[in-house]
Amino acid sequence: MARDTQLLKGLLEGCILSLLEEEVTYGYKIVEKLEDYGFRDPQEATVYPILNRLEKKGLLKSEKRPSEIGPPRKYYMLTDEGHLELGSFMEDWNELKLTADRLLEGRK
Amino acid sequence: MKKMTKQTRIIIYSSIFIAGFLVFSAVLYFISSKAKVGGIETWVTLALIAAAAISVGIVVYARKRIKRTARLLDKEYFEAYELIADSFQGSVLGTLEKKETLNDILGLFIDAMNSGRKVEQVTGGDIDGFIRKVKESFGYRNGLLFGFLSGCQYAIIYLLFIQIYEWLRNSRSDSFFNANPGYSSLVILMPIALIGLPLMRYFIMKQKIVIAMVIPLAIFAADVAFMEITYANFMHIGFIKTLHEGDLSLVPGIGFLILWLALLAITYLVKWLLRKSSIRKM
Repeated sequence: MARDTQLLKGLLEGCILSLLEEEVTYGYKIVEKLEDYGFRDPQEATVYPILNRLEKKGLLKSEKRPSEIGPPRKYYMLTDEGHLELGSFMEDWNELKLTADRLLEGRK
Repeated sequence: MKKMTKQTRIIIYSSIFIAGFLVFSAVLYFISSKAKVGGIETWVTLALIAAAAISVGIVVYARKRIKRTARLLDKEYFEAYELIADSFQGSVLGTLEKKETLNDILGLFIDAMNSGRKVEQVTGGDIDGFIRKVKESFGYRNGLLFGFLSGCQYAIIYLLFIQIYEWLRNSRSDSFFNANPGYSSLVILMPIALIGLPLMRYFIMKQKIVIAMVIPLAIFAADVAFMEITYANFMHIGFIKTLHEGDLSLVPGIGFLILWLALLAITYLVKWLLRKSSIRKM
């Protein structure tokens, strides 16, 4: 159960890792993509601390690239450890999803 | 050109007020010491006046630098950015961490602003919460312990300054290691170093700038009151008499000088290790 709670807390982290597996990109673009996928009103105030934490944990690395509208942007990409973490997240998520589906379908 | 924000006005006026207070104290010190012009007291007075002027200059320059760095932001975003920048100045993050984080936040703000988002949408209408979450993303760091270590650093630096001052005052007759500062000078400087400055950092971090600026003045006033009251009423008590008239040997030899410097280096090392371990524990 504790593991599941932890998993729920890490849901957004997992989604961000997944987005960054698709494409190397920067903070604001990640917020936009989360919105496109249906997350309600995602904020930089939530996403930036997660990116920072993932980077400090060594799951992401970043590089500065020039921007046409301001200072250089920080682009994030997965490290090898980040790929492993994403794999582990997917496994946990699928397991939790199956359990929840079984439970909810049994109520129908 | 953008006008000064309320936050900037408070900080600049407070720094001018404190600098004025310092100049007043320096002049009072010079007059009360009945020193001859050209002696060490003259140089100390001039150094204090110069330090006061330089401090105000640094504050004004730092505010202009924030403004220049964030010139691409509109008023709404700039005010939010300025609050965040000030809060980070008092935080326990390292210098590079602060600089990099503020650059990142500036980049995020510029992108969001250019996409037509309001600052409330970016921060969730809770700038304090945003700041807290960013700080937490560096791992848990004990603010009290960092404050104490910073206080120790200020205290050691002050001790060495007092020693140099005493040595210069008696340099014709004494060597550096024979200079003995009075306890009374420690009564004011140690509370400022160990309590006042860590508290100031704490309140700057909490964006309570006025409280932060009042702290050194309050400690100074409390010290003067304590010394005056004890001098008038309690000089018959041995401890009080020593506090007023006694002196002590802070750096009696080269070994002690190395010890003080080693202690200073250790405080920096401990802070660095604490920062490293907070990231590992995440």
